[in-house]
Amino acid sequence: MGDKGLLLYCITNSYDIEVTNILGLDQVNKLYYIEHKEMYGIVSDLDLDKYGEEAMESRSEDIEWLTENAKKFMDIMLAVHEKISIIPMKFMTIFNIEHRVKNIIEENYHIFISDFERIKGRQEYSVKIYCDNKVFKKNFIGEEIQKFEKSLVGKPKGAAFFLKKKFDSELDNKVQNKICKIANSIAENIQKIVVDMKSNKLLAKEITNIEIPMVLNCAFIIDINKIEKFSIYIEKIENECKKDGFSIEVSGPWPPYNFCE
Amino acid sequence: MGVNSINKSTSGVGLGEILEKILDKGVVIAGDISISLADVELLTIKIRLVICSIDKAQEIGIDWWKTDISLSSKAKIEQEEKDVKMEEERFKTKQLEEQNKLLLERLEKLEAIE
Repeated sequence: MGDKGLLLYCITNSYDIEVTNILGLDQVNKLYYIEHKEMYGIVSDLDLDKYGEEAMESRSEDIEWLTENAKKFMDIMLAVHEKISIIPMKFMTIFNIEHRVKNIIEENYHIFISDFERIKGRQEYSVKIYCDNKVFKKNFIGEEIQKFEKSLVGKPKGAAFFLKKKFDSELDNKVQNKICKIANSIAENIQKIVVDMKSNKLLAKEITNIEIPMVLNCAFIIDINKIEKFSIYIEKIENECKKDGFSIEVSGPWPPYNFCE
Repeated sequence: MGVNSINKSTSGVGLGEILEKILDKGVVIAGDISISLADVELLTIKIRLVICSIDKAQEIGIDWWKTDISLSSKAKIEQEEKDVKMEEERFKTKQLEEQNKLLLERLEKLEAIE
């Protein structure tokens, strides 16, 4: 084995010995705690021949490598998060020696304290809303066409032709706007139930592997005792919007990636 | 969809759900090892470029990867079928050669008697 590095997964303020049974990213070395002032960094050893700067240069844009290791990494984070409250680190935060991890805890101590306060008794969830515009348009179009055709009554043929052209090109815009409006109103209603919500970038279909476009992507943090209220709301909305081409994907609880500093 | 189905659904999520968290979020602390990973946006562009260039290449008639057995499973199957046929031919040829040998030996014996 070459030089050793320490991969830092997260910071925690609780000790659970079962975490030390979890295998790290290399599937060889197990996780362990580095303690400082009653806070801990959870790390595992990595062989820098495989995961160091040189090795990673070719890997950093290798989609296959990333896919495989991202999944492994998240599995580890979820396994730890099942047992203890954690502040998750960005992927591939690596240090040379234990002392450096203690330094990090020392330097960010008060920030970590306020992060733990923020997430206490709460959980992070993700909501993604997709909409099939073709389905939505079909339902929406009937009404609009009726309205438009009424407006054409009595107009000369030539004028009607150009008005129809304009109508068609404006229709797609109208459809998009209506979809966004609905998605945003769902987000606003969710915001009333949760503690805090963040709007994230929409993911393209190349990443989601879903043909229909994403129209909303939010992460939120919610009091554990409000989760039932939230589920009831989502169920209601899903039933109402399904016929218009909407589908809602809720996932969680996640380690608080969106709500830690 | 009740509380249970929400509580346990981190399995079976898409890759995007994972990447947008571990690449774009989480606490950012400079490690000792400097590793620059693409963020989700850059990754999306890269994947798009790969897909586009494959589509474009096919459009203009470049599709050599379809017959390269290390890249295409269809080509691999066709190659394997060819290999099997060749083996069969070799076996038949060997059988004929042995038959031939036996016949020649018998002929020699018969000629020797005469």
